[in-house]
Amino acid sequence: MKGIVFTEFNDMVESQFSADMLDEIIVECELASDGAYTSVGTYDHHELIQMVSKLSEKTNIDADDLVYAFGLHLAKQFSVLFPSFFMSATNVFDFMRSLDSHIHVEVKKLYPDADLPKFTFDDSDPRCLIMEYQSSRGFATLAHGLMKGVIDYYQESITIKKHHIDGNCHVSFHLIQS
Amino acid sequence: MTSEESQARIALLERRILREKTARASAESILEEKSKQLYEANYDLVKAVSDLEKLTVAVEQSPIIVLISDVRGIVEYVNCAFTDLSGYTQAQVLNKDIRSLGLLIDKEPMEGIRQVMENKTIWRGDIRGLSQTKQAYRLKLSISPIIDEVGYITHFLYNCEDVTKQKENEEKIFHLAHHDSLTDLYNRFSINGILQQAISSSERNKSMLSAMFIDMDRFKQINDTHGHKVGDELLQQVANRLSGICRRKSDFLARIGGDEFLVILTDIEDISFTALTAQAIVEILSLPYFIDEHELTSSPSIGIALYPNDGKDANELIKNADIAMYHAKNNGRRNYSFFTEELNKLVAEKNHLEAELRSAIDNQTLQLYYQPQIYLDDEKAFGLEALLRWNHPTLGFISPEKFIAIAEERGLIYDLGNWVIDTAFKQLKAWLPDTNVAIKMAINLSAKQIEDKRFIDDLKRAISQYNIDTTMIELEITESIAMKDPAGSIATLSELRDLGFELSIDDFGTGYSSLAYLKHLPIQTLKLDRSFIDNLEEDQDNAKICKASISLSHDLGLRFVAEGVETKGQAQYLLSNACDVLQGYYFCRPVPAAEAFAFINEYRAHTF
Repeated sequence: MKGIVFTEFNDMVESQFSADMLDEIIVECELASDGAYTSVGTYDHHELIQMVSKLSEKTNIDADDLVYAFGLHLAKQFSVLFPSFFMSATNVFDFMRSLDSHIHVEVKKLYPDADLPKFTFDDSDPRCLIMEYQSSRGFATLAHGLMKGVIDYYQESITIKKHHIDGNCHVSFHLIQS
Repeated sequence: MTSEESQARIALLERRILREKTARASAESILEEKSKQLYEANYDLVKAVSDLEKLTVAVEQSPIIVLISDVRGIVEYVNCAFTDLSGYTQAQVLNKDIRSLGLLIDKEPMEGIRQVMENKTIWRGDIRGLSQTKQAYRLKLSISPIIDEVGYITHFLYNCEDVTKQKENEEKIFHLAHHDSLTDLYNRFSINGILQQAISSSERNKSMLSAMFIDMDRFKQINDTHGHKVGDELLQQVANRLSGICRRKSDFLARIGGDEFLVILTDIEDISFTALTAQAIVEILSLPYFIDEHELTSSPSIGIALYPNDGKDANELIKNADIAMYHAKNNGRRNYSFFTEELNKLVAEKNHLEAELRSAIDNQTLQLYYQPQIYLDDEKAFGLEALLRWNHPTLGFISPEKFIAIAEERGLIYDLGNWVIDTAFKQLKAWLPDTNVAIKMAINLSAKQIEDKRFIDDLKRAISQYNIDTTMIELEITESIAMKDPAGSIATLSELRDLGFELSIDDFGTGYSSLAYLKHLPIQTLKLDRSFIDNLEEDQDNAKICKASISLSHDLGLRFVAEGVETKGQAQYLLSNACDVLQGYYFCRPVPAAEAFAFINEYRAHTF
């Protein structure tokens, strides 16, 4: 998993909780990388899962809620760090549709080793975009948070409904305009 | 803050600094690696740009035309090869529809483009084009798709080779291969194919076609007398006249041999059209030809075979038209003849006899019979005329007139003639030690034999092989052969005379001899045709002709031979009129060698 996810996660923990909390979870998780993340590196995604679990344990906040919140945070950060992706689409549906065909293609050019989730789309209903998330890492909740973050960016009135097909590895998201 | 808290804070900060340092080192290492990759990528890119520049120059200066258009056909790139050929400038070509640049992109290339779009494959074909100055050119074209990374065709690449010259040459070669260079009509090779196609088409349409085999009479003589240049000119005029007569698109003309032409009339409804056309050809080709101040006359003999009646394929039709042509020729020339079933039967019989004759020659089953000639002034000298006989195991004796005609027609006569000469020489040589009778062997020659370039050499070989005294050989040619080409005959006969042979004119009185020429022929003997002998006892005119011929012979210093003597009265009349030699059934029929030999050895005295 790309280092930016880890550095952003750490930033979120530090800003939302405390530097001490971040230090504690890193120390207690005994991470292979020792928590020395750089945004240009690549790290084992299990470290993120370890840290989320530890944070959940320490804060008594449900891990899924934490990951969802991290998704929101990440979407916001991405819109700051990579504005062109957001500016090339004018609405949520267009942005989502450009994920596989454009954004992930560009990400792959920058990071040939990036292992990206796969999205398939059904846009036969103009008011409802169905996105199927598939990834062996099971970060459907993170994807959920990211989607919500994107909806917030475009300030549209869209609700998301999740249907788990195979746990968190294969999930169908229905983005419905209201 | 307590001391413990301070220490904990310090420891946290130290851990954090350590993590930052480690991360930084890791980032630097990654960045260094990325930088190296970037350098290498840049290096590759610079090289690629340089290669691309070279390629661009190569494409730009390539003799192959390179054009790139978008999918609508709007030209985005063109190299010099195209602007040079077409006369358009780059500015006139770029951003223009490819079909507006003089390139004839019609049905076939459009279909090609459709295939390229559908199958994403290359299409190859030939197209024509017109330069800005209206010069026509021909291109060998390949259209290939340019496909983007997601598999869509964005452009078409047109590679074209200017094959104008090549095509012109190919067409020239094709024309040369399919046409007769002298007359520009089709040649034998291509007319066969055309006829075969026409037959297939007639079969489908249930229509008729006719094949006319045309042979120009006396052409060889014109060629020999006036030379090849005049002969060629005559053939060209024949071709022109034929082209003037057979003008329909469905008529095909060919020259298939020296003076042989073939006319194929397709799409005919009845044979009267063919007959009318044939009649027109006879009349028009018989009109005089004016060449180099000569007025020459020739005429056609035409044989006609019709599809489907007279043949199922091209070879059979041509063969049967040829047979009908021979029939027309034998019927007096300057006419046409349709192939008939009777002709077919005749030809089948001839074919059969030809095969049998070939096998008889191979198996040495032909025989020479000899008919004695009585020399009236010398009872110890005889002539023996060698006569070819064919006793077929199942058909019995076949008339020499019949099989010799076949041998002449089918090209066997030369070999047959050589066999006769060899056998007669050999026989004479075998007889000599056993007799003190002087034997003069008479051998008949055919026209084809003396016309053959090998004849004199073969004759010399036989003389040497059998050690023959040529003064004891009399070579006979018929009057009609001698008079066909008197000047040529004088030359050939002189050569034979130089070898020591005696020479005789056979069948005298039947061939419209020119006495002026007769005087110049280097002959020693005149042999009167048997028709004058047959009834000389009853027919006073024949008797007078005999007498006059004997007198003429003697005046010219020639020996006179009467053949066909069958009665005592005939023999006595001829003897009393100073005939020199008698030959006929009255004395002896043509008989096998042993009998002939016995006859001359047992002959005691003239008793008539």
